[in-house]
Formats: sequence, C-alpha cells, structure tokens
Amino acid sequence: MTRMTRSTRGSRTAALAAATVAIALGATACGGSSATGAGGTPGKGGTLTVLDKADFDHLDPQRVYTTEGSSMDQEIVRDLTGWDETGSKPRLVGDLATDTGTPSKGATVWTFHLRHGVEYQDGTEVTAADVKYGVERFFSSDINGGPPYAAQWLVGGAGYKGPYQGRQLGSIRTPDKYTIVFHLNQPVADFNETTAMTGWAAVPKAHDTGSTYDTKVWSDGPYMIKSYTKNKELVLTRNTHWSRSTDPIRQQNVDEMDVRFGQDESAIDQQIKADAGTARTSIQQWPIAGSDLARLAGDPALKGRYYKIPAPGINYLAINTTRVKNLKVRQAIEYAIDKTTVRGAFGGSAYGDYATTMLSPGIGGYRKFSLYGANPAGNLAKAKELMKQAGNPRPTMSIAVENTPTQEHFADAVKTALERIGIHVNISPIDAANYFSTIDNTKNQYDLTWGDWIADWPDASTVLPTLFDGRLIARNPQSNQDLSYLNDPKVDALIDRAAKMTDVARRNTAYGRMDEQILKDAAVVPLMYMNFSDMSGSQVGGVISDTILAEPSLVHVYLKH
Amino acid sequence: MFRYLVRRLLAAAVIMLVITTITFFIFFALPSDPALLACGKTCSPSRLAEIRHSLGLDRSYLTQYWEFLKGLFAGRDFGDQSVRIHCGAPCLGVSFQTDTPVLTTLLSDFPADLSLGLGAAVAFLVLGVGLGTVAAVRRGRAADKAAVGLALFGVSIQIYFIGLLLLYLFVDKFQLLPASGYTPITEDPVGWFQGLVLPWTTLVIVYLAMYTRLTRSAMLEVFAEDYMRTARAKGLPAATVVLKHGLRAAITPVITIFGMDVGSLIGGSAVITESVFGINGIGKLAVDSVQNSDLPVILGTTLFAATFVVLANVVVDLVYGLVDPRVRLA
Repeated sequence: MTRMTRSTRGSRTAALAAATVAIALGATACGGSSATGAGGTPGKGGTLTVLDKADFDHLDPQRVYTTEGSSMDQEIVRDLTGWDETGSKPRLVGDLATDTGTPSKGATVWTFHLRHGVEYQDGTEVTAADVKYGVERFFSSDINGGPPYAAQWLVGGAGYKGPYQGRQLGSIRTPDKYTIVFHLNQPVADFNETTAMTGWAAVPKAHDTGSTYDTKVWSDGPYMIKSYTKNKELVLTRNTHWSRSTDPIRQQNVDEMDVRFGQDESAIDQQIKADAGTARTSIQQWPIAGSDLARLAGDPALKGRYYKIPAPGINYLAINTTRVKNLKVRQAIEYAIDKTTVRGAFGGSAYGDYATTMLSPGIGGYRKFSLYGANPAGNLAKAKELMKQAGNPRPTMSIAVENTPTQEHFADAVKTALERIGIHVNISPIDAANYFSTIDNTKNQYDLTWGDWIADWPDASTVLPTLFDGRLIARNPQSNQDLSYLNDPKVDALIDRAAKMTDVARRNTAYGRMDEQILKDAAVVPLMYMNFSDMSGSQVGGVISDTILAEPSLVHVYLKH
Repeated sequence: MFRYLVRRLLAAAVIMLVITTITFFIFFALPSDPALLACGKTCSPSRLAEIRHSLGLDRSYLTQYWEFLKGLFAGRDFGDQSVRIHCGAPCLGVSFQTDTPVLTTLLSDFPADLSLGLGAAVAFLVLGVGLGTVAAVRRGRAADKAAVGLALFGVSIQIYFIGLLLLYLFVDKFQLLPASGYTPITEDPVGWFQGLVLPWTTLVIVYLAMYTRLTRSAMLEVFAEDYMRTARAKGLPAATVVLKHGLRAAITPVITIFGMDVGSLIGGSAVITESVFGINGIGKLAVDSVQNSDLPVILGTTLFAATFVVLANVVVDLVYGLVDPRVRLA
C-alpha cells in the first residue's frame, strides 16, 4: 500500500551488525526452548501487547495510509466493505454495508445499504449521513495523507474542499438513513474494493475533532481508544456497544490491546523470539528487521508463531525509457540482471519469490509469464547478443537507491551484473527518509530507479495504471509514480479499456495483457514478489495472515490460557 | 556573583536565538518538503498548495520565522478549517505530524530524559572519579591496570550492542527484570527503577572510561605539585591528602566535561539508548522529527537540548567557584 508505507516499510532493511550478534546469541542459547510454551487453549480476556517500532502515520480513518495503521484501525473502525480472510482466498464482504454494493449505469453509480443496529461506542446508531461525512473529510487539506481515490472519482470532487465550511458533496447521496449512493466521474468496476480501505467509514460529526482526530477516533468496531499518547502508547479496550451479530469480519476476544511504540526493531525481534514474560502475549506489526530475517525465517523454535505473509506487492527496478531509449539495451538489462544476488541483498528467500511480472500472484489480473527467461540468474549470452545488436554502446547509467546497507548491496549487485555487458553504473544513494519524495519528483531523474509497490486492494487497477499511465506524469510532477517514464499509447489504451470493463474475467485478461506489454517495452525489471514476516509470542492465537494489507490481522486474535 | 549570573544568562539567550535562527534556515535549505510528505501518494499540485497553505509553509521564510519568534513570547493559534489549536506562550509551534503543541510533547518526554540522564550521570561520575582516583594512587599496579582496562573496554563497545546484550541476558534469558521501558516514578517507583537500571548501566559502561582516565591523569598531575609533597610531609593522613588536597584540585576539568555531558544527556542525546530500551525521550523525538521533516519539532528539540547544554555550563561555572577557591566569579 502506497509509497508512504513503502518508505516506512523500507527502513526494515537497515542492517546493523551489532544486532545480528545479539540475535545470534539468542538463537544459539535458547533454540527450541519456546516449543514448550506453545499449546494452551483459546480463551477470552487478557491483554494483547503490540510492539511497534514507531507510531502509526495516522489512526484517523481518512488519513491512514500505512499497512500498520490500517490494520490497527480495523479493530476500531468499520468500513463499507471488508475482507473475510478466514478462507483460502480473501473474500470481499459487506462490513457496515449489508452486501458488497450494487453498481449501476456502467459502474459509475454505486449503492450501499447499511446494516441496522451498528452502534458507536456511545450507543448511537451509525447512519449513512455519518459515512457521507466521513468520506467528505478526505477532501479537506487538514485531513491529509490518505488515499486519493475519493478526490479522483467522485463527481465534483475537484472543487470540493471538505465539510468544515458547512458544504456538502452532492455526488454522495443519502436517500434514507441506511442508504448511501456514490456518483463517480468514470466507471470503476472494483469500487467496492476501494470501499474496503479504511477511510470509507463513518465519522460522527459531533465527535469529529478535525486534524486532531487521530487520537480521538470514535469507535464503531470491537475496540475503542482508552488512552493514546502519540509516539508512546495506545490502549484499546472493548467497545461494549459492538455486536458480533452485525459484524461478519471481527471478533472481540481479548479485553485490551496495549500498543507500545518506539523500541528498536531488533530489540523487539529479540524479545518476541525469546518469548519470556509479557513477550508471550505480544505481537509485532512491523515486519522482522532485514538483518534478523534470514536467521529467524527457518527457526524451528518459532513454529506456529512466525507469520510469512505474501504481500500483494512487487520489488522492482524501473528503467527510465526516456533516458535509456534503445529497446535492445533495455532488453539486455532484463537478461543481465542476476536476481539471485539481488535477492541475497534483500535478505534471501525469506524476502520473497523471484518475479517475472509486475502483478504478483495474489492480485486479480496476474498471469504467469516470463519474457526474459525463467532462470533468475539471467542469461548473460542473450544479454551480450542484444548489446551487440544495439551496436555495442558502452553507456554510463545512474541508479537511484536508498542509502541503507541493504539497498547499497543491491545496487552493487546490479552494477556487477551490468558491467558484464559493458554498462558502467554510477550508484546514487538517497536519504532513505526522503527517498520516494525525491525520486517521485520529475526534476530528479535517473536511468535506473529502485522501487516497490503494494497494491491498495488486490486488483491490477491499483498497480499498473498508477505505475505506468504516462499521461499522469505531467499531471503530478512532484509525485510521479511512473518511475519508468513509460508513455506507451498501447498501455494507455489498455488502461482506459480495462477501467470500463465491469466483467471481472475480461478485465483481468486486459490487465494481464497490459502487464505483458509493459514487459515487452522492457520498462521495468520485476525483481521479487514480496513477503512480510512477523512473529508473535507463544500465547497469542487466532492471528490471520492478512494478504491484503500484508499484516498479521488481529480481527480474530485471542490469548491462550 | 549576581551580575555574573545575569550576564551569563543574557549571553545564553543570545546563543539560543542564534541556534534557532540557524536551525530554521538550515531546515529550509534541505531538500525534504513536509507538505509533500503530508500529502501522500499521487498528490496533485493543487492539493499540495492547499496543504502547504494549511501548514503555513506558503509564506516567506522571514514571515514564518517572525511568526515563530512572536509565538515564543505571545503564543499563537493554529489550524484554519477543522480545528483551532491554541498554543500559549512560550509557543514552540505545533507539530506538523501530530497537531500537538511542541512544548506539551517536550514536557511530557522530559521526565524520561531527566531520569535517564541524571541517574546515569551520577553513577558514572561517582564510579569514574572513584576508579580514576584509585588508579592514580595505585599507579602502575594491578588496580590501575584493571581500572584503565575496564574503562577502555567500555568506551570501545557499541551502545547498540551492549544494550541488546543486557536486554537479552536480564530480560529475555534470566528474566530478572520486566520488559524495558519508562514508567513515571510517580506511578510506580519500583517499575521506574527496574525499567531504567539497564539503560543506566549501558550509559555508565560507555561514559565511565572518559571519567576514569580524566580523573587519573588530573590526579597524577596534582600529585606532582609541591603543595602535595608539603601536605604529605607535614604528616596528614593519606586519605586527606588524596581527597582534600588532591581530588579537589583535580576535579575541575572533570566538572567541565560532566556539565556538558549531563546537559546533553538530559537534553536528549542518549538517542540510541532510548531506542534500544524503548524509552520515548527527546532524543528519539528529535531523530523522528528530522525524518518526518517536522520543522516545529526539530526547532523545539534543538532549542530544548541547547537550553540544557547552556544551562549546564552556567552551573559548571558556578560550581567551579565552590570547589576551587582560586576561581572567583565577577
């Protein structure tokens, strides 16, 4: 989900040798000991401790855009729709709504009926007007940071500035207390998956505290905020007005959730791995630190409490098609990159599987193909042959990466591979905290740019159009996501056609073709389909691998007694 | 004495002003853009402009700086649409990230730094000076070598490593202490102590070396003075010679360094220790604010840290006068 998440997620790869030593000590000293701590029976009650290295970007449902924050919000806030992930594949269900919504007029109008009797923490009922008000908050510049979809798609959104000056958005209608209708400016066939994102939720106007709502979110979910000190601690307690009978997704097993922010990620890894004291009833939301990953991934002591979650995400190397203009050279790069050394830099097989497409396997529209050979180590002979056909140019290329040890190792791996085919590579490390705001600005262009992307919902529509619609480059010059600067009319036409298709199977076929066309253009080298790995203590049960958010979902969490 | 104090405090105020000015303008020279960070993905230019406006970043640097200074003395009001946030004087601004007045955050983080910094400082001062004195008295013998060796070990080790190791041993492995973190002393004095004992130990291990070596060398220098020989010659007990005549003269350089260390520790310089042990203090706040381009918090934490370093120096000068009769403040 989003570049913002990605930059925060990205810091997980910062490796510190010292941490590695301490964890190694931990691994040898108590391997296998925690297996005895497992077992126990599911039960109600108790306090789940959540250990996070940093506070959430936001908890305000219209502002949150990180996977950690969105996952926590699922305990507090209900959305129009949501994902039931108890089965083998995520299933879209109505959450506040009775079903997954009804499209009409070619998917430009979407109608949702709300469940009756869903109550806030003070016992008042959630109404369609509250959902309308909540969605309108997206438009206020005070309520910043959230996803752009409301502003992009709702009719009249361009000129609307939010509800705080008393104005309403006409394209959201509430014909009665339990019905809400959205009028969109274009067909959006998967709009009901958008509404599973956190912001498509109710905010009661009387309890809205504007830009300070983060710490005062008014609950209609199973848990409500008991106390929240930013950057220190969030305590959630049962919302007694929540009822299991109106909620198809969540349970309410533990009494409280105590979220503690600010401890170093390696210290958290070490603590949960050791499984002593409160660590037994603890879980982490930020993935295991890159420096600890390889060591913890195969540890038998962690059986049953190690969650390897396949993310709907891709780690890739974009080739700037306006700077590396020769298709043959770009194709040679595709063959030359050795993904085995690349993956080694990111933490090895625990990090993810080798990718050959931009869409990852969990995403609607994914089709398996590998245009540049199935061997992850590449094909040097083929690469050299292509360079020869291109007239053996000996270009010098820049590569942009974050200035972390992981990414610099990655850059070295690319450099080594490309030097073999006569491409000289200059590495440009960029401050990790500002990486995406730097490379997303069209003023800063590189020949090769590292990137990763997690889909906002598991559909190609939140991956390919965002990353490869060439017409968006000029529109958002400071937040350009098309790192390849690809502006292929064939891709753009496919994007427009797919957006209008309401038939899922046909649309997925179109996205599959789009993916292939982008790879034919050799605009990007897909590197790995990402996994995120987290741990919990031995007494934590009911954790669901949430493949939508790539988080350990807490909606069914309980403590073993 | 009073005039001296007034003069020093006025000078301190000027230093603070210079520091805020420099921090402020350095921030705007950096490439990061807080409005863009707040805006998120696919940020349209018009939305970016609105956010820039709501953060007050659309005005000239000088206007922004003037507003900041005015807020320090008169307070300010923030927010334009959804909420009004009043920030009373002395107003250090309101965080871009959390919409909380910076001073409120600093004051809530301060007890953690005060506990961490002061506790560790007292321990490493007493231990460092003690070890240094023993080493000087027993120069060249086993005790000297052990003290200096121990100190050297401490200074060469990484906080990050020793912190994780202590956590592993005392919390995870032998479970002698509960999971680390800061509990206010007013809530639970025992929890406060248990949570801080490992961070204190970490800081002591790291800082001890300098104090041991500094005390040792200063003592050795003093031992060579004529008046020390006189003191011994007139038959004073060895302890009196060493502690009253020796240590008192040798301690001045130690106090200078100590003042600066305490000032910066309380002001939030123990950031790695804070992070390893999950103590949310001002050091972590400062680092996070830089990563989030949160200008008001950057300014606030810088100013706060500077205040303590400057104040500590004033206190050190005053203490000189007490410890060493040769020093007169005028």
